[in-house]
Amino acid sequence: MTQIGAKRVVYAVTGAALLAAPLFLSHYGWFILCTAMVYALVALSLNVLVGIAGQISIGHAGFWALGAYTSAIAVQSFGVPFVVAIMLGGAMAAVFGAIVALPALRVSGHYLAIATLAFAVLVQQLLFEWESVTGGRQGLPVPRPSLGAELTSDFSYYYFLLALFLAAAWVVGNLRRSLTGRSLEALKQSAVAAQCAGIARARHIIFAFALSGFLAGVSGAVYGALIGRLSTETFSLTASLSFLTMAVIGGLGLEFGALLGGAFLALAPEVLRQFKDAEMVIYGVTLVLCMRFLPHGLVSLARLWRRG
Amino acid sequence: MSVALQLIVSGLALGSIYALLALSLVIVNKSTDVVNFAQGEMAMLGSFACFALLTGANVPVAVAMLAAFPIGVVFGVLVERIAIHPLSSAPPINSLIATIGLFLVFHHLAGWIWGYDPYRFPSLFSPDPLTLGDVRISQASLGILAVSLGVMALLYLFFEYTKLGIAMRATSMNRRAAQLMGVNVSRVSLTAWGLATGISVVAGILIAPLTFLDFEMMVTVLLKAFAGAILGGFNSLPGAVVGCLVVGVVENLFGAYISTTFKDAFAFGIIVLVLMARPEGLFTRLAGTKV
Amino acid sequence: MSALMRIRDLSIAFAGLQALCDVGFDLAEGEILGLIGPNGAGKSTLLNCVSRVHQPDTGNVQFGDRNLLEYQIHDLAGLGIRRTFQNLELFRQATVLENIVIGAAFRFRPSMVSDLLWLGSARRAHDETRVLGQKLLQELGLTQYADTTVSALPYGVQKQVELARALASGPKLLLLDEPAAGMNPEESRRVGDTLRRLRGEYGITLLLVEHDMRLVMSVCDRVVVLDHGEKIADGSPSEVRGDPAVIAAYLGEEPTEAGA
Repeated sequence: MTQIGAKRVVYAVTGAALLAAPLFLSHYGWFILCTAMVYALVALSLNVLVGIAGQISIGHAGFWALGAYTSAIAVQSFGVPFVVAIMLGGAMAAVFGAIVALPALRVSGHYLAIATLAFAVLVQQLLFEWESVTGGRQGLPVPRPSLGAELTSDFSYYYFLLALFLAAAWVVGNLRRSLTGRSLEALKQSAVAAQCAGIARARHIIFAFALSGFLAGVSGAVYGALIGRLSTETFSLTASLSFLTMAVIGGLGLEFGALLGGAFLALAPEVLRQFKDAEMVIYGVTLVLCMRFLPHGLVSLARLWRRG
Repeated sequence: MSVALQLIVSGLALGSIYALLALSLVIVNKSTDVVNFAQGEMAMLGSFACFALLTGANVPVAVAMLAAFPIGVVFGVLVERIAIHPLSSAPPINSLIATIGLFLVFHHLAGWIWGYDPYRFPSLFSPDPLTLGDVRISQASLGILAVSLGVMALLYLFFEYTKLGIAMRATSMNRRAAQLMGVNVSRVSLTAWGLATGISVVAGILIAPLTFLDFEMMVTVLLKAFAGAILGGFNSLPGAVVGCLVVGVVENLFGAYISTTFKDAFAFGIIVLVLMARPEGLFTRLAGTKV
Repeated sequence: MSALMRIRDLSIAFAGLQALCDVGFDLAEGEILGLIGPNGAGKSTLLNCVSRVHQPDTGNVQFGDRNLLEYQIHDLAGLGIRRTFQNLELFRQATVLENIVIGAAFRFRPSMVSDLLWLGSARRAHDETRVLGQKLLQELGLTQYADTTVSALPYGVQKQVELARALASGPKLLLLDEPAAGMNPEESRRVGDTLRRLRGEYGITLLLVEHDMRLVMSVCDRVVVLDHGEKIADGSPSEVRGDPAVIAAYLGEEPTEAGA
């Protein structure tokens, strides 16, 4: 079977599995599926930023938080319809993405990682202190949306999230093969040559950060509605680090990798729960081992990954 | 006025602890091109190890303290060999993520072994303040400053006058050239991690009495070390020290006169601002790539 | 032939070292001008200033009715100026065709929204740049490499790909940094043929930095010589070759293998 043929088969099987999964699982299984979709969206946002644009972020929980709180407040305090609210959440995160892009224009690698880290910690602290709006220690309740059909059950909410993920994956796939995406990859490989070829660096990097922020913000918004309550503790450094690691473990080179990463992050606590305190230790060890033996992520295992 | 002086002195002491951690970061970065996000956690674990010696093996305080540096060296060497060296030819993001993985491992390992409650850690210094005129300065501040300066002085001598130290400087300037001149780059990498971790554990036992010993202890210290190192210039050892001292003093003054809640946010704000305005820091020049 | 570009009083210093000092010369339209000089003379630096990779401390680079120094690196492609690099700056993980496509991309750029939603303009840009790239590869005899990843190619072919990428946007002026570097005499000769063809068939003006004297003497209409950041000669190849100042500057240099 050709590589393309094999790819199509895997996608078809995965698609069928994704559609049919809730039928074979319990209530709790539906919840896990939902969280996997939420995380897969975040992984997509990192595919854009790190995979395509070659940037780095260890502060993505900041965008996640901005999306979550903006959306929740829009619905609760302003009666904005859910779908509009999640777009607003994404937009708010996108704006901050563009701002965070500014240091990225001047520095890269570890310096940039530190800047994104500082950003995320700042966001978390400010949200925590802004008690009147975010509920401080008590947290902020977030209702489940109704979009005509009631989405209060995790069963139906999962299909909504699946559709959202597939739409986002389609957009990211478009980006990858489009001239904008290729320009970003060119900038990643040689910024000088790309600019001498007429590609405006600033515009592209700001775009990448904004898009990445948008996707992460949307994820945060739908996450809030899934959990039902927002607490600033969730949007911690650990969350940011988990996001980056799951994106890398899944594979940054392909949207399918985002799905694997999301599944990994949703399932890992379940699988590792039996180890109690050692859970995060094992998680960290997995990370180090993955970097050593599977640097391009799980996706490379299946040899689905195409060059670039 | 005397209050301000006290704040400045204790700010300098705090800043010198950040500086020790920043020195660890810079030494590792210059020698191996890796930024060790787990440096703080390694310091924390090392401090716990000293604590275990103290409480478990009933070792006298002075001995447990002196053990800090050697414990750190061994720890650093082990980590470098097992987790870092194998990744030296992979893309840099892999090493970055590996150190993130190590961060998670060490952070939660401490919680797993010793639990999540803070412990009281003995101080090397007497709690009675020194009185100079109408100014009261804590002995701890002076003691911390003295120890830190002592460590930095020893570091300076090491880099200036020992063969290994000079080899490390050569490697950090040009790895390839150093290799061609017979420097064992692998040993330099090992030494860098050992040395850096040793220093960071010293930082750990200096701050533990102030903040209590627990698994969260070094997280914000690491961030402030980053802030200071970036402010002074990440590739400059003296720059990183000065940057951290500034961060320590300003943080203290900010906390006292403006707001304690946003003290930490302030340090992170510095990071972002400096990176946007002058990424090379105050004392270094950013090298561009030659085309 | 009118002056396509006028460089005046170009100076730049790096960390106290004066890399260029009041360098100036004209470049006529349709001309092939060689920029030579011993190592460290500032040749690549000059190219970097003109292509806006460096910001000179003083000076003026007039291109048509514009001062290039007021523009940013990525503006130059739109003005018809492209370049190659001394150390090859190819997109190594991409294929040859993809490299060329990037070279042509800026002309076709649809909006980012269109790209995200794969609207008509995005699809058209995608297809047209590919067609353009394939045509160019055919003209340059590189079609068999179209889908090969650049990092897998031999050095000589990589050099050709970098040139092709620069040609993809139909430039008026090409800045070439050592196009014959690392080549044997036969390959250099072919480079010379290519350069003549670029001027003759495509009407492109060429400014090349080179060490290969045989190539310079045979291909260039005029030669400018730099030494320690200053211009020491400016004239026809034969004038320059006999110039005592030029000879003196090179006496401190090892002659290059393919050189005179």
